[in-house]
Amino acid sequence: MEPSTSWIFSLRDLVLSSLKDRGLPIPVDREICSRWQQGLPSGPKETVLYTSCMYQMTPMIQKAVENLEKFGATRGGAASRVAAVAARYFGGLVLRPDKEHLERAYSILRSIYNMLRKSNVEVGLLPDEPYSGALLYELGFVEDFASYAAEVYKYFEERGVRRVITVDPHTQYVLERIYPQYVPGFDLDVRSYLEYIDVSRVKVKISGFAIHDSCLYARFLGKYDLVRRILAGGNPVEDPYVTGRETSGCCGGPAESINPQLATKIALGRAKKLAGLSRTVVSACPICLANLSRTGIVEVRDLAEVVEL
Amino acid sequence: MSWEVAIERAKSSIVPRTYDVLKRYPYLQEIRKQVREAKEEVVKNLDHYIEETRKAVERIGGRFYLAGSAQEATEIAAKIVGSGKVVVMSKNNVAEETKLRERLEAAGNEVWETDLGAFLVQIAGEEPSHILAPAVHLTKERVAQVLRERLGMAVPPDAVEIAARVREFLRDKFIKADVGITGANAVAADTGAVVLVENEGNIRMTSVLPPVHIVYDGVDKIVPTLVVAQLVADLQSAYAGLYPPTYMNISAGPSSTADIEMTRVSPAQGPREYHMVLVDNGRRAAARDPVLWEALLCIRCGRCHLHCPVYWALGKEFGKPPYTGPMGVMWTAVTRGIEEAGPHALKCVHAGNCREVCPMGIDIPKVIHEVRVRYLKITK
Ligand code: SF4
Repeated sequence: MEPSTSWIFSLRDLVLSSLKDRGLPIPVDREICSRWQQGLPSGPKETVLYTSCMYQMTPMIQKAVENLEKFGATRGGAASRVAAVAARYFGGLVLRPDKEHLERAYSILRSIYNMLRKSNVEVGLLPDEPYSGALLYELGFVEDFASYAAEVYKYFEERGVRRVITVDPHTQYVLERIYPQYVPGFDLDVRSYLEYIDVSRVKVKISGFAIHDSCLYARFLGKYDLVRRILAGGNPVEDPYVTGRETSGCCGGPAESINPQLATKIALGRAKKLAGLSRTVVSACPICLANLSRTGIVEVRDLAEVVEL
Repeated sequence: MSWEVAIERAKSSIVPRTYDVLKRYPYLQEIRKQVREAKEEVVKNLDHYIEETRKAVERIGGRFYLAGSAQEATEIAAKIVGSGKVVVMSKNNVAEETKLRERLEAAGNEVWETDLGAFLVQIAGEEPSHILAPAVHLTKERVAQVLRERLGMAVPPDAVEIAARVREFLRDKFIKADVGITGANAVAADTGAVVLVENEGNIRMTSVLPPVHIVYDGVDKIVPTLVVAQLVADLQSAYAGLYPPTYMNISAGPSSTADIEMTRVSPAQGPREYHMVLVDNGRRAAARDPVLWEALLCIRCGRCHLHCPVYWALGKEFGKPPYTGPMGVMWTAVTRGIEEAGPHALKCVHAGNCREVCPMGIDIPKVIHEVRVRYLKITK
């Protein structure tokens, strides 16, 4: 399970060229990012709900990697040649969205939007929001990330945005913790939508599920307890060695684009542990949602699908 | 049987035990802070503390050697040992890092690991999979098979029986041994003493029975005082889930007695020679590195492994033995460089469990991410 560096560099090139062309890390139609906003008012400018297109794109990234896997692109060996073929395949097409996945992503985003409204938070929507660049940072290309992040910051500044409300842990982490280190003068207030939910009014629609924590929320952003407060009404099944803050594990997602076999192995291990508590798992991250769902061992619901105000 | 079975068994036994220890002895939290502070002080002034250690070791009648590289270190040890000797070793990651056993064997010595796990790995001809429990990848069934195949020992797959048979086997080696080589949980710069913590009793015998005791470890083990050195040993055993440790050993120089006219003479019952070989092998450069320096705070408790989803999935394929798991990626970078550590850093999923459970509060994900960034830069 050794990652191939030539593949990682090909991936970097693909991500960079796609970001340049359309502000998204993969070649998808930009319109898939904003379609969920149809019929909603554009809202105020200072505070915006920023999806970074994560829920919309994640299943497609995984599909793309799965296809590339068939070429052996991530496995090395005659890697540079293979990766070049893969790159053409990957870059040359505009990936077709899976309708079912997209609908699900839209309903999650609509639910988040509604919960914010009901918690008396007015948010603006950006039809052309760019991707955060998290993937570049996570892959380890910090210089590429830094220059891209500066552009994203400029985008927000030019629109008079002061506060950004995120919907997923990767965007929250990169904006809250990493942007300030790499973008001079960065001074946006970055909050997760979870912080705005009026916990006293939350209804949890299902019960007896297990919580799968996002690594970033639980261990980097201090949201372990908050997620539990929000989901308490559903009486989640807890086990100190499966769902504890220090003992739970990753979904494998972060390894997906460069080491899919490792990602699958980790996901299977995690899903089995969770299944020992409940077949239904609630997570609050699009990557966890996609990666654990693919194991087929547990049914994964997003927090925004099971909670209402 | 597979790695998955072995690691699940290990986790289910040691993780709850560690939490019990931490709950029962809350003073450990205070010790953690104290040790981190003391170790930071040493990392910031490493050369000064190496010099202090040298002076202290010489003061207590020992000999001190600073080895720049792995090769230099094994050469020094090989010279002290000579050839045709029986050598007993207690588990020692720096010996593994520098391939000391192989070097001593090549010089015509009979060399035995005496820690049960390290012994099993030696007999199996494999690499250690965990910093503290090197044979964690071997199930009891596999251990019984290895002992049968390699040493002709018929032993059932039972931990108690296995321990008993290996004890019998090693007793003879201890008695015959000319040289005992130990590592150090901590080296005290003020006194030249080393503190070693254990449960088996093999370190005690390794450091006392043979006439020559060689302490062989990294310069990162230095702490300012003997008091702190003992605290390191406390912490290490607690965070390994094995507290109180059965034995805590202090060695400070050759054995001696002052029973005749109150004049101290050497040797007495224990060794007549006390040597300390401290290995740099990348550590001093790491101490000056703006990110890697934090790795030097590690006290080798092995806890981060047991909370890491990549280690659960890959075992010793994550890092380069003896340095596996989250700490292993950092330590591979320190001792073997970015080029060798990089491919392992690429496997990290940034789950962050390691940072949460590390007694030294090392920001392991940050260090690993930096290794990844640097690796991609040099690979380009
Ligand atoms: S990095 Fe921390 S948890 Fe891991 S072995 Fe070292 S001290 Fe223990």
